[in-house]
Formats: sequence, C-alpha cells, structure tokens
Amino acid sequence: MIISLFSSTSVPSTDRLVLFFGQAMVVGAALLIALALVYFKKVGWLWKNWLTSLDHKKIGIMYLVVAGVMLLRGLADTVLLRFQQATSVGASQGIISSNHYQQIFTAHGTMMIFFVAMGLVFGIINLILPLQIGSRDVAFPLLNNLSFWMYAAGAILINLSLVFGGEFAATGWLAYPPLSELQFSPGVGVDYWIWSIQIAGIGTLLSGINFITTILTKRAPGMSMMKMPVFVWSVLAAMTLVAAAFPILTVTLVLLTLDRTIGTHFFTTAGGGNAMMYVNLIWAWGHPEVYILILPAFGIYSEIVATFSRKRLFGYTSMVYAILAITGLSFVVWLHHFFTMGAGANVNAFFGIMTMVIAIPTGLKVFNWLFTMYRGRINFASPMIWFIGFVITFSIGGAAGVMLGVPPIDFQLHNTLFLVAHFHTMIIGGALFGYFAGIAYWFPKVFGFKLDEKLGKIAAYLWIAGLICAFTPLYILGLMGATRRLDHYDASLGWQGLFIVAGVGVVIILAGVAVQFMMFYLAIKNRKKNLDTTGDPWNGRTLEWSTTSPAPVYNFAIIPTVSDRDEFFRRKQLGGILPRRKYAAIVMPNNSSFGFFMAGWALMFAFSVIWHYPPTMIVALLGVIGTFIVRTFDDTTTHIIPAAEIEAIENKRAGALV
Amino acid sequence: MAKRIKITPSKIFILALSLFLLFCFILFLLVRHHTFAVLSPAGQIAQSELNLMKFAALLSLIVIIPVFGILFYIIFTFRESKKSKKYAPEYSNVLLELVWWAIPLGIITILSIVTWNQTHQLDPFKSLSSNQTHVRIQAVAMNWKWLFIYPDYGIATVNELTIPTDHPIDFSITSEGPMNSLWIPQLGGQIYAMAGMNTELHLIASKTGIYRGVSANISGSGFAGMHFNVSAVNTQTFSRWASSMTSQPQTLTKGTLHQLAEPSENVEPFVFGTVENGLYDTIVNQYMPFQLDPDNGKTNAMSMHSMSSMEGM
Repeated sequence: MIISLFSSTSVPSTDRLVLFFGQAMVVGAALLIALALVYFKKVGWLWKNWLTSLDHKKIGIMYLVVAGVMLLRGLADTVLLRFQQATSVGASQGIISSNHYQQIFTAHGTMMIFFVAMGLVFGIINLILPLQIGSRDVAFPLLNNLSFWMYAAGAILINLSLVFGGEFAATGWLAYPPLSELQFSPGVGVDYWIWSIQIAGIGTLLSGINFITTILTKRAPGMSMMKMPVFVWSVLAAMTLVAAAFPILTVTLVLLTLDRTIGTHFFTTAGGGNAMMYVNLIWAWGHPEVYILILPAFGIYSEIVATFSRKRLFGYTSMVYAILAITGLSFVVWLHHFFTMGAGANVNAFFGIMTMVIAIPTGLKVFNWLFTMYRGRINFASPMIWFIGFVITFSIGGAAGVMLGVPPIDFQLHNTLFLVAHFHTMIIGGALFGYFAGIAYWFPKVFGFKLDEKLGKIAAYLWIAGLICAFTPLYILGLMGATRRLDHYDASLGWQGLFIVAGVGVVIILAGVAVQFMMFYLAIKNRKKNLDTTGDPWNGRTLEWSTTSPAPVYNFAIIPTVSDRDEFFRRKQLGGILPRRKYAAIVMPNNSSFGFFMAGWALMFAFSVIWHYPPTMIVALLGVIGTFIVRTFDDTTTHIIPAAEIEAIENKRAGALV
Repeated sequence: MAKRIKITPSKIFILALSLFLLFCFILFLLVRHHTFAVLSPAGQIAQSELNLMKFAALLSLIVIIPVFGILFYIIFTFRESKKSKKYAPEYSNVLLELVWWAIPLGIITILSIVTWNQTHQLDPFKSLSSNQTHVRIQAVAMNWKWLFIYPDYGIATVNELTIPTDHPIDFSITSEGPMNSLWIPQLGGQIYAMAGMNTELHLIASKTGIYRGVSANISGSGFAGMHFNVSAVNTQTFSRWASSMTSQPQTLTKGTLHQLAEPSENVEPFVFGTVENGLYDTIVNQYMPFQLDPDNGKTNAMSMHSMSSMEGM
C-alpha cells in the first residue's frame, strides 16, 4: 500500500477511521473526476479550453472552482473541530486524538487563508479587473496561467498530505518554532505545510506583480489614476502588499526548511537560533496578508453599494486615501500579534496605537458606504444583503479588534477564543461576505446567465445568522478564560453548552453553503431561461458592464476612451449606443502548457524534498530548466483575430453598448 | 390555497431581532452559573485591565451605535420602493466627509493617549510597589506541565501554585521546550514562556481563593492539559504551607531535571521538597554557546537573555 510506504509516524487507532474517510474522499473524488472526463471524452476539451488557457476570465473561473473545493475541505475540518470541542469534556475524550485535532485546525487555517480566501480574491480579480480598466488582458497572460497553476499545485500538495503519510503539521497555521522544528515535529506534516504554502505563495507573488503592472500600464485611454474604480484601487493596494510581503513569507519558509532539512539553526533553541525572529518575520508577512484579503473586499463593496443605491460613490477621494493609509499602516502593526512576547512598554504602546490608527480610515470607509446609500434608491438585491451583514458583523468584530489592540487588554484576551471569534468575524464577515457579494454581482457578466436572487438572499441570511450563532459563544468563552486550540476541557468550567451552540452556528453556515451550491446548480441547469442578453443586468456604472455577458475573448472590440469615474453610467445617460466604428484586428496570446508543467515540476520537487528523495528532486529541477528552454524556442505565442471575425462576433450583439 | 405571507423588510427585521433576543436568552441561561475569568478579577492587575477593557468597549459603542442607527434608518427610508423624494444620484458633501474623518480620529486619539499611559502602567515587566515582601516564583513550561520553583524557599511545585494574598508575586518565566504562555486570568494578563529566554510577569492577588491558570499557547499534543490551580491564601497560611513543603521527600536537581522534562500529559500536581540552587538559571542558559563563569554567571546570563533588555529598542 502506498499509504504504509509513505507512513512516517504511526497513526493512533482512534483516528484511523477519520483519516481513512478523508483519504477515501480525496482519492475517490480525484478518481471520479478522472473517470468522468475520460468517459465523456472531455479530457481534450478541458486541456484545450481551460487548463492551458491564458484568458484571464477562464483563469478566474478556475481559481473559483479550486477555492470552492477547498472551502468544502476547510468546512469538513470545521465540523470535526466543532464536534470534538462539543463532546470532549471531562471523562469523554471526543472522537479524535489531540494530535489529530491539532493537525485538523492547522489544516483548517492554512486551507481557508491560502486556498479559499486567496483563491477567491485572485479569482474575482482575474475575472473583473481587466474588464474594469478597459483592457483586453492582464499585462503578462502566461505568468497569470503559471500563477494559477502554482496555486493549484499548492492545493494539490496539501491534499496529498492526507494520502501520502496521512499527516499534516500539528502546530497551528503559522507553525511557530521551536514546536515546528525537527526536535518537536519530526514527521512530514510540517514539511507538507511549508511546501504547499511555499508553492502557492510564489504563485501569489507572481500574480501580485502581474496585476500591479496591469493596472499601471493597461488602463484604457483617459482613465487617470483618480478615475479608476475603487475596486481597481483596492486591488492595486492589495497587490502592492503582496509584492512587498510575500517575499518575507518565502524567505521565512526557506529558513525553516533549511532548519528542518540540512540542520541549520535559524530558529532552533540550540545552536544560537532564535524563534522570536521567526515570529516577527511570519507576522511581518501575516499582517499585510490580512489586508491583502480585506482590501479587495472593500473595493467590491464600493462597487456594489454605488450600483445598487443608484448613486455615485460618496467620497471617492477619501476612499482612495483611506485605502492608501490602510496599505501603509498595515506594515507597521505586525507586533500586535504578540504583545505577550514581552517587548517593552514603548514598543508595545507604539504598535498598539498604530493598530488603532487603522480604525480611522476603516471607520471612514464604513461611513462613506452608508452615505452612498443615503438619498439613494436602494435595490436590496443579494449583494446588498451580504453588504448589510458585513456592516453589522464587521462593526462588532472591529470593536473587538480595537480592544485587542490595547496591549494590556490583549494580555487578557490573547490566544483566547475571543481572539478566534474576532478574526473569524473579520475574515468571514469582512472578506468572505465581500467575495460572495462580488460573485453574486459579477456572475452574470462572467457566465452570461443570472443566479436565482431568492436563493442568493436565503444563503446570505443563513451565513449571517450562522456567523453570529457560531462566534458569539466564542466571544463569551474567551471572556470565561477559554484559550484557543483546546481539544479537551473540564466539565466544571461550564463551557460545553456554548460550544454546542457554536456547533449549531456551523450547521446554519453549512445550510447556507448548501443553498449556495444549489443556487449554482440550478443556475447552470436553467441557464437558457436566465440569460443576460443586455450585458448590464444591474444598471451598472463601470466599464465591465459595457461588454456582452459573457465578454468576448478579446473583452472590448474597440478599447473605450474614459472621461468619467462611472464611465459606463455616463455613456448610458448620454444616450447609449455609440456609432459603430471600423474594427481592427486584435492580437491575442496562444494557449500554453508552460504553467501546467512548471507547477507540475514544482510539485514534484516539493514532494521529493518532503520525502528526502534526491533523484526526483534533480529530475524536477532539470524539468523546470527544460520547460523554460522549450518555451523560449516557441515562436508562435500569439495569434491574430482578423477584423472580419470581430465584426461577425460584434454584429451578433444586437443592441449592445459601447 | 393558503394565503401567501408578504415578506416586508420590517417583518424580516422584527423576525431577526426576536431570533437574536431568543439567542441571547439561551446564551444567558447557559452561562449564568459559571465564572467569567476575565471579568472576575481577584487582583489589582486584572482589575486595571478589566477597567481598561470596559473603557475601550464603551468608546467603541460611541461609533457602533450611530453606525447601526444610520444603517437601519437608511435601509428603511431609501429603499427603492419608497420612491424617496430626496433621491440625489450625484450627492456629495465634503463637510460630512471631513466629519467622518474627524469622529474616528477623535476617538482614536483619546484611546491612544490612554493606551500609551496604560501600557506603561500595566507593563508586565514592571515590579509592583507594595510594603509587603515580594514572593519570587520561577515558572518553567515543560512538555506538558508547569514547574514552579520558589527560589526563596528551596521548594518547587508541578501544576499547582500557592501564593500569599497582598504580596506582589514576581514571576520569571522560561520554557524547557516549545513556546507556551503563562496566564492566570483572574490575576492578570499573560506572558510567553520561551526556551533560552527569561520573561517576567508581576501579579498580585487581593483576595483568597482558587484561580485557574493555563498555558495559552499551543506547545504540542499534551497542551490542553497544561492547566493548574492557583491557591491564594493569607500570609500565615502561606508561610505554614511553605515550611511544611520542605519536608516533602522528592528532590529536584540539575541531574534529575531531564526526568521531569520527559514528555507527560495531564500530570497530577506534586511537590519537590528540595530544589537545587540555580536550577532556573541552568534551564535558561542551557542553550548558551559558551560556558559561564559559575561565580558571576547568573547576572551575565540574565542580562543577556532577559527580554527587558529590549526595552531600549
């Protein structure tokens, strides 16, 4: 059996069933997909139309699909965690061992941040950003495809940990040394953790550079910086953070890898290593990461609130400066994640105050959104329900955050469930709700047909109710002195009832997820009935609504010239259809398997390092170099769509604007 | 056919509100007999930290309540179906924008001043002033239990702590393995325990009682069992306890330390009647790359590794 071949440590018998179930799920799903593809003769189609595509819209969809799958994986972990904490009280030990429990919450955090939240962010950015700036593609389409595949390879690797070795890091999602060092974590779990986020992280960095370049160089003529939609600003800010912060992650992980594989002493206790250095480095990446997740969501809210209030965004300039302020400040607050490490009062007070200062631009943004709605005509479509859920939960989570930002208060709440409740309220209520709102908003643009609004609203209500039900008990538990990551506690503490209520909250969230999947299923099934023939189902304001739904492969037959922040809205007010002009031929990039193979070699390399097997390591390195050389000899990287073909496509779009 | 119920925004609002109130009531029933450790201070530090928490919460409410008020007012007034006459698609107001900058700015300024002062006031490394003698305790986090050495009494306890009330307790904290965090919520906030490093925590208990202490940072599979009871007793009881403990048979020396450090989970409390001098410094300094001069090694090592020397950063 491969499982025993790769087994590094013995797995406790109590966990065998859970582990086996997980393995069966991963292997079964992979086999099922492979068989279905072969049976329906779709392998070639998938390869040609999707996997090797450099079209940013298709890459965006692939990001969303992977993120959706990983969301289910992360939620499965949530169920196990909640079940364990609701049952492992007093004499009862629950269903899983403490080590397995620790692996599960480590996997939960890692997957939700790196593969769900980041996947959704990059999916949405890919889908919409080029359209919003009136561009035909991103600056580096090939790199974009490589980024996606690096992300996918990371996701595959984290799932492989379940099958080969059956072990993941049991260290918490940031794997602090010395616990994550060889001395205390001798198995392959931490190595799987390192390499899955290392590979995905490099993809993220490449994406960051790609989108910065795209925004700076590919905007439609006339779109000055201060005429960019706020979503574009928020992406520019987030990608700047990516470019600045992700190299720190890469280096930190390399140092930890060296400690674990060749016996260096960067973070070990012996040999002059210093674990505090790791904690600083990982948070110097980790805090900007939080804003990498939240800023694009802020941008999405800005677009949605303006569109559905039928009003221009209130305080555009303030919004932009607020985003920039948050971007800058997010780099000088990392120490608030470890006030309790014992830096002096001056250091703690500085970082505490910087943390609170972030509340100023953030608070301003909330007020500006509210005043965008003020004197509007608000259509409460499902994206707006997500937005209202966001304002309510984010305000409460933000207040908790301000409290945690005061060092003496943090000493009492650090590493408690109050903290856990705080960051879940922020990341679910703030970031995730924003992505869901964005998906509901832009779905018709991407796919050409609409989602069911009623199901969308029910899903939003369930998520909001579930979020409140799952995390209010955790705020209370934190105040009762319950620390995070406990797999067992005494019955006399009286925590069990609250953990059960939190579990009910998770069930409500799962119901919301079920409704969402049903919504997507029904939308695809009944797509003929819900076609968006206008390209502008919401009475939108920005350029992405000026093309057809879905947008043609070249996005815009004629690149628009911009003279207003809400350019498309202005055009509609001027009377809509502009006179037809002569079309010119368009150069578009060819499909390429470069990204697929590069990420494949990276995956092979990582897997070889994890299992200390040099021969395949060398093959993988040679593979990288070889693939690179092959690509440099490829002379046909672009193709031309002739003007006649464009005219034919465009003529089919009866009544479309631009 | 059943009459269709028309869903209106006010109905959704009332339904949501009643569900929320019911939810709060259930939570209340679940917790009403149990201790809120963070909210039930038994000492001066925990009390000051709680006061600060209340202050910050109140200050936050100054923003949250208006936000919720404005949100619901706008939802009900400016929905499309109301066809509000005040509809103004190009509405902007620079003055209001400035107000939105000013309100959070004002609140954060107040909170920042308080934070600066209180962070210095409640610095865990700061020794507490008192006319009573200080009791020194050296806490060592091990896989997976706490060792508490009383250097002035030559005794040590595992997974239990006895302290006198009204005497400042001076903790020196380190770890023998992974990072942990020493937290006794009813007495005050936590500080990390790190190998090769000495951190400090100064707490005081003002009333007798038994308080729960934990490790708040994950350190491996036995981490959930790293809790202990702190018995705060009056001075006489403490002296009697300390002197009676010296007759306990178990001895802890540099030679036998590694036996204690062997990983063990859910360890029942026990006592060492004798502890070798300088044991704590040996634990802190065990990773030092050079040999220390045994005569003045202690002071050197402490100043090199103490986090408080980072104060000047």
